[in-house]
Amino acid sequence: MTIYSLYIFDRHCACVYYHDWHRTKRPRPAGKDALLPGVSRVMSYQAPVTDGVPQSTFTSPRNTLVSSSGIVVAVNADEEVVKPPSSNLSISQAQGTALPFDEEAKLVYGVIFSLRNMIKKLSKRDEQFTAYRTSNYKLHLYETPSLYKFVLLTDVRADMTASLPSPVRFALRQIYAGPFLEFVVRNPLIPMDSRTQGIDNEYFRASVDRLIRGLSFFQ
Amino acid sequence: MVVFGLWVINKAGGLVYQRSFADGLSQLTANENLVLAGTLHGIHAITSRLGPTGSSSGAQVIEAETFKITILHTLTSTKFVLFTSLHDVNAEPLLQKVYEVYADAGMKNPFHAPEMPIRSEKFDTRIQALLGSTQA
Repeated sequence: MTIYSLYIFDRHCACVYYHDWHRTKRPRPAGKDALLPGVSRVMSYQAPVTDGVPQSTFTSPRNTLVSSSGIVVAVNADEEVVKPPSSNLSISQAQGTALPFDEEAKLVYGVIFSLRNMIKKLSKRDEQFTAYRTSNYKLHLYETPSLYKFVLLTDVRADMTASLPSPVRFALRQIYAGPFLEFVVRNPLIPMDSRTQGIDNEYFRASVDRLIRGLSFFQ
Repeated sequence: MVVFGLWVINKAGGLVYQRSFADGLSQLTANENLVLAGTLHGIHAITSRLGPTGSSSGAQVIEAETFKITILHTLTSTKFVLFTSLHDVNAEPLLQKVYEVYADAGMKNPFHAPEMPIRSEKFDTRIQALLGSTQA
């Protein structure tokens, strides 16, 4: 079973965090000013490279952070020091029909927002929308009382056991209760609810990565 | 398993047939049903673009906490939408049968205009026979 990607949205409809694992069709980096800073280094706007020297390609999601000097605990709003992770990689991603990341994030938010409202209207009690699946992926939603939305895309075989509660939703709750609380809520350098900045930082990314890779259904 | 209701949505997103069978979901007005069917049509189109590994079908099953929505998207873009209890394993075969009834009692009816609301007593009775008897 495969896990593809994780999105976190805040209550202002903005994507504040993105992390992916086994995606074969990855989105193009977002356009300039289309995405908040501090969401995901790989998906942020990348200024065109002029020197043409290919930089080291990354192999693990942890390398998406520039950590040559110490550890990144928060991302500053002005990111003039950030270099594009790899110029040749971003060009190969840009081909094909992939959406820019900011548009993809908006579509994901739009779908869960509409489905959430639809389910609320259809059900007598105030029910939550939990998941949908298509022929080749499944989207899971976990919403916190503070309206943070954790969205995980997996393949369709994950979570087919029909056991209650669903293990994927439980994992999303674990991300909220563990890494999110520890490295975002308790991190004084991350302004929550700021509308100007995402929540990406190295501890959070590493700890989410560890949690996801440790799951029984991670392949 | 409980079947709560059935929608048939035409290829333009219009609701051409709506029927509820069991209590459990809120009773919506005809207008609310039309709006929700249109929303579902849009969501279905977007979900097919979000595939992380290339092209994908639209949403096939949408789950809430106690019920689920199963969608059969036919080759002619007509959508059959079935509302059932969450752990219902029969929803997909049932939708195939609904499709069969639609072909027999809907499309073969010379007085039925395609893409228009289905008003046929035979369709009604056959759907009732198929889905009305599944309450357990």
